[in-house]
Amino acid sequence: MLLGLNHKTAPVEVRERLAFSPSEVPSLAQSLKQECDLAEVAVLSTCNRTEVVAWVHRLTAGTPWRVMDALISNAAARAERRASSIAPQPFLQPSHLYIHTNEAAVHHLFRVSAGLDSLVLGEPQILGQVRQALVLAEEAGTVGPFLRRLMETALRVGKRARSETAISEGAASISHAAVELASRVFGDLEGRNVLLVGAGKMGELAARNLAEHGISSIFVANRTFARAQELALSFRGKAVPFESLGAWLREIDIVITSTGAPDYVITEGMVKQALPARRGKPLFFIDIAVPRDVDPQVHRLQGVFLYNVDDLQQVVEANLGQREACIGEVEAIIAQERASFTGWLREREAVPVIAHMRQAAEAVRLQELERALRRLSHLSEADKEQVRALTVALTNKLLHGPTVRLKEELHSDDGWRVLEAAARLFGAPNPASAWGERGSGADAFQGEGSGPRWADAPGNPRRGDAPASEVVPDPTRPQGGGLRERARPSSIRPFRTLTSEGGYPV
Amino acid sequence: MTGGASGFLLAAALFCLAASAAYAVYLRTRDNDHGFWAAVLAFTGWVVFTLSGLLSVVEGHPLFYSSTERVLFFFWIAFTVFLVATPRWSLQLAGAVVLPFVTSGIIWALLQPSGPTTLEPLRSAPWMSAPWMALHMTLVFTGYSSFMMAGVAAGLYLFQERELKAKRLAFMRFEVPSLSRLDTLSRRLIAIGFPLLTLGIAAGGMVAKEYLGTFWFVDAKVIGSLAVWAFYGIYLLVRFVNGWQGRRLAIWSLVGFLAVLFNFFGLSWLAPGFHRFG
Repeated sequence: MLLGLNHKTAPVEVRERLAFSPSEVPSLAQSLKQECDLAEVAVLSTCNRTEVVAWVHRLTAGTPWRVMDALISNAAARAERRASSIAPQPFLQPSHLYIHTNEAAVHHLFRVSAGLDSLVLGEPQILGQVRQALVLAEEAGTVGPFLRRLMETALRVGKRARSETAISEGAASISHAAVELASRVFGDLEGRNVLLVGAGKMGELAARNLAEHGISSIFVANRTFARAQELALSFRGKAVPFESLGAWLREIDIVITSTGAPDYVITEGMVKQALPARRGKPLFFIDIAVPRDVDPQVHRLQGVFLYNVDDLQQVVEANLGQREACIGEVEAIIAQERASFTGWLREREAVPVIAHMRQAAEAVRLQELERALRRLSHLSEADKEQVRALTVALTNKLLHGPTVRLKEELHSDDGWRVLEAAARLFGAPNPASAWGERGSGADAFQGEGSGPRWADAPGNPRRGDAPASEVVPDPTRPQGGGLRERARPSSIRPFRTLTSEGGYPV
Repeated sequence: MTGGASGFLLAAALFCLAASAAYAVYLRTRDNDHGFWAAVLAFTGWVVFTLSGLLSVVEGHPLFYSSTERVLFFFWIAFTVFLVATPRWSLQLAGAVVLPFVTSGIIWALLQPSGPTTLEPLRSAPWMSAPWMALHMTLVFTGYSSFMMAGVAAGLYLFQERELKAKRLAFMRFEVPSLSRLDTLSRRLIAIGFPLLTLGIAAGGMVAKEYLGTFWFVDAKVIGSLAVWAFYGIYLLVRFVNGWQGRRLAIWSLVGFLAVLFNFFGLSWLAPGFHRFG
């Protein structure tokens, strides 16, 4: 099961209250595990999302509610501890949450890891955050074999998506676009120098990005020289007097402007004067200021390139368009990894059933062998050994076929029926479900108009495709409609208690 | 050229044709896989082309015997220079220009009325087999090929500069070397080609000295070559002494490319003389 909220479903006021720092996550995971009866749990908490990934042996209608309550009370306790002034509103509302179960949960986690669910499509940080969520859960001791395998597969999906498709390619922000364009002109930026004019935030960011890409020296000019010195210090650059800009244009390769000046700071005349001394060396302007700092006429001069905010934005949009074109390929990777994960899950699920089959057979064999040997006491030791070998061969041969076929059937869509039938035929405990709801608690929520959004994996064949009468009746688990009727009155609290009359402080 | 050799030549033409098509596809799709296959086809074409030349020598045919063969030799050199320059300087895209050029050269040779297989005793003067002659042709052709590659790089420079000026974004996905890199590339190729051409002209003088008794004689091609030599000499002077770079020199290099083409092909038809071939 996966319960969470992200930038699409919840406003920042809600997200910030439910964002847990890495130091808080392990204890949160432990408390979730205990309070909500979860077998394994991991928490993924970033600035854009908080998600609880849990492995539950038996999902009931109440589980999501308990998780939600636990999240809220943890957040509230933290707010209290900090004695923060955050008022107990706005509230976490059910509409902020999404809850996925089974394959849909796997699908969602893989999408998150691949960057398909991110604010900026294909952004790379989320992969590290998923890895951290796994590390933190390991630290808290709340993760077991299932979740570990799931998270590791999610990480693989993320890595494959980034290496096999172009989902993370191209600059996705203005400052990265500036770097990309500069590399078009200068190639690798090593040995190039940058002049930052003005102390605007965006300009600083772009300069920082260029510095990360090997720019050798950064010069800073600002109307107040002290501010220029301050900035230069943070870049390990050099402050230059604002008045000497014209002279610097002869030396510099890249100029970033982000002043608050109402007029052009760099005029066509200034650039024209500098050009002969440049001897055709390209000069690249990035004008991030609004109103603009560089005279647009400059772009027409030979060897001079001027890109403003809108131009950079266009680059970003083109790149994002390219990324969007890769979604299909990434989804294909997700589907592939999902199939491999469910395959693994089903095989694991079959392990206890097969073990039980063998145990039962072995018990019968030993029992019958003993009885027979008692009657055949006249046999020599060698003959007794022969009989013993016969029983072993017989049980093995008899079980071999069903075991192999069971393993094969597991990968088909209705493999669970075969598994369940095997479990019943051999008197094994009913297997946990890796297939779908099969009348589990989640179904009971359907039809609740105001409830959380129950998303299902596309093409999940399980939900409601078999009438209840066709399903093998299972005394240990109420099927279909039965639970729906029973669950509704008792285990679902009306949403009104959450959304009005005070609600839950978050 | 002999029968077996011209069979290889036909195969080379087909490979080069396929490579040209692959480069055209690469130009459209910008898929690096396509670029890789184009390069594989081109390299195979080069190997077959080379084999055809070797085979003709092994079968006892004198090298550079017919004028068509001498033109083919030029194309082979141009092809070789392209293959050497491409992997080092990621000039994949240049294949879209060079391969059709080489292909048309080979096909032209195959279509010659006399054909590359026919001997042309009348046109083969005794000096054609002089060792200085082979050196002269190799050096001049390599120099010219370097200049032509420099011209292609300059063309890419101008193309990319235009796209950057127009703020067109489609090209952003193209794997073209940066402006600076193309600029450097053009400079280096010319810096390599210039001394080769200088030595090649000198070697030509040695041939003339041996057979005509003079280093220097008036011939359209001789004057054309000296003009090309001076043209690129000025380029290097402006570049290294005055430190110029960028757009103007790219145009210079592109004009040089056309001058080389005219000198090599145009003059052969306009003013046939000692250097007439093709």
